[in-house]
Amino acid sequence: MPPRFVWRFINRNPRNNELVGRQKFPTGYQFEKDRAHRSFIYKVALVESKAHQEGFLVHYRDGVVLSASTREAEISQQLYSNTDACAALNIARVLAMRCLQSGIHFARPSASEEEIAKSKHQKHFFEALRSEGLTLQEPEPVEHSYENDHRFTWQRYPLKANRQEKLDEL
Amino acid sequence: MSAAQYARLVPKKYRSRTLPKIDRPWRPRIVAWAGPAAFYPNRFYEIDKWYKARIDKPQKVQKMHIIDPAEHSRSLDELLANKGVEEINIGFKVMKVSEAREKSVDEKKNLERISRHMELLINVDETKNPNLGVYKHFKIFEHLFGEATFFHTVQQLDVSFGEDVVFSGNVIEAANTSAPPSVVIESLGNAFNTLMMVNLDGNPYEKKGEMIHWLVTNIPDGQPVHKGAEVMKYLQPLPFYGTGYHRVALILFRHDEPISLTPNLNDEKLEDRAHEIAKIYKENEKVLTPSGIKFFQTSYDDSVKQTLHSLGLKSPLYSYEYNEALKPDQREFPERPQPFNLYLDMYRDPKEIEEEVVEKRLETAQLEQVQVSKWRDPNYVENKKTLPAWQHEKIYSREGRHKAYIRNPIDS
Repeated sequence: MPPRFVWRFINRNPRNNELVGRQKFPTGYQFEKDRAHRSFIYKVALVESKAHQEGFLVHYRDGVVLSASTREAEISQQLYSNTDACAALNIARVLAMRCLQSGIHFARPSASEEEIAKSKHQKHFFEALRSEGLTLQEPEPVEHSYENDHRFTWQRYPLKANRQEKLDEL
Repeated sequence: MSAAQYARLVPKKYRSRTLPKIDRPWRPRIVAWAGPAAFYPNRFYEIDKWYKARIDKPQKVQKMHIIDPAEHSRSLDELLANKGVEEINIGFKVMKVSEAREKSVDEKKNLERISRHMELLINVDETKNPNLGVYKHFKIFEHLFGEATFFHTVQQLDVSFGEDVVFSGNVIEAANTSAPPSVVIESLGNAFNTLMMVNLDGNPYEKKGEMIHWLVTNIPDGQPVHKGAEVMKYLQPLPFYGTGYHRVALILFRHDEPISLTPNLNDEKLEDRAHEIAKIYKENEKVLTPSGIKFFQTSYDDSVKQTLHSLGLKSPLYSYEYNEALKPDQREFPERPQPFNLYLDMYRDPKEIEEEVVEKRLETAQLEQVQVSKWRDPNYVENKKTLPAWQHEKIYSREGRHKAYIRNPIDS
């Protein structure tokens, strides 16, 4: 008789929960001005410097995972200039390809909509990412509920502070 | 006027009669022999500076708590970043890339014209992906060769399952991996290659290690894979039901002489394929050097079950075990008022609730199928008036376990 399969199987893949959609977004720090800007799993950013442009894919815990930049000889060789909008577009194309080749299909833009509207480089960068097949939104994670865990039979309810407790805020 | 004088003047007042008559302490009006300076606080304690031979006690200055701004100006990200151990390159050195060639004037002109119109699209396939970050992100090196190790891909390795090309972590359906992939190994001169396909997450046995799904050794340089010695036959990766995505890596080793790997490897049974790659590598470290790596991810589909059946095994069904949801300890008198029905529900035995759900479902069950009513509560208006809110909610709620009254995926 062959040895039995383990009762408790552990998948060591660190990206499994994210792929399956079980990983929750981090909520940011409580007293931060803009809490939402930490609430992502992957985000893409274009960093423009004096002589170069770089596109990054950032993971909320591991930091920069993938990058494409005009510092790479193969890219800058084919470009006219390292700093124009066309370079930003092409960097986006390379970065999108690398993301898809690594099984990363969803990422949030790190620049705000205003910033994107203001800058031609950013606009072309994110448009190219989208047209190459990277989705610039992240799907909502699956909530822990009775449907996926039958031990979870109760319901969460928000407890709102009453007037008495909020007195010092008034 | 002092209190005593006041009491003398107003004798009828009750307060002045009963209160003790205490005068304010007066500084003596009469000037003493010492003059008014007698009452100065430090008349006798003043240090006389003119006195020459004074032995002072050693002055004890406490060590101050010094806040160095350089220490405190680091951001939270920098503080939280853990500085890992130094990583060791176990592979080959990367060769220097040839220098970029100068563009001619005509070429530059042309490039400028197209890029001004945003029509310059570079050839994406020509760019090499130098990012080792992905492999670290997926912990490929760590789980294969141990912590703090890495190597660069110096030998081109092209692997594809039909149309699905293996890159670095892309998702490939398990059904497409049923046949061995076509592998093209870059020729670099007189040596041998060893190709290993490993499922890093697929070991279902107590024994530690990863599953080797394909092992071909001694592939002569520049020749196809079938010229090598197939130590382990190809078996498609087996991501079991409910275990999510498994990483499957194809690793290329390079060695000068033909080798036979030291622990005897065979592929008779599935459990023989479970080996610790780090151990195998450690034993053959002197001869083997990793030179290339690619990996993909797969998840369960029907082909996994069929393959397991053909091996004479059953397909195991796993389901994800959530950590138990946090809840406060139950108290007879909770500190703050709680919605009593939800609060009490929180501490009921899940088994009991499960029974209740099944009972309620069976009540409504019919021979054919459960009839789902079109309305959540047909008597909504009536019930809203007569029932208390928490009871009414039980009827029309479709969230959480209430959904299971209507739809319970027991059969799936």
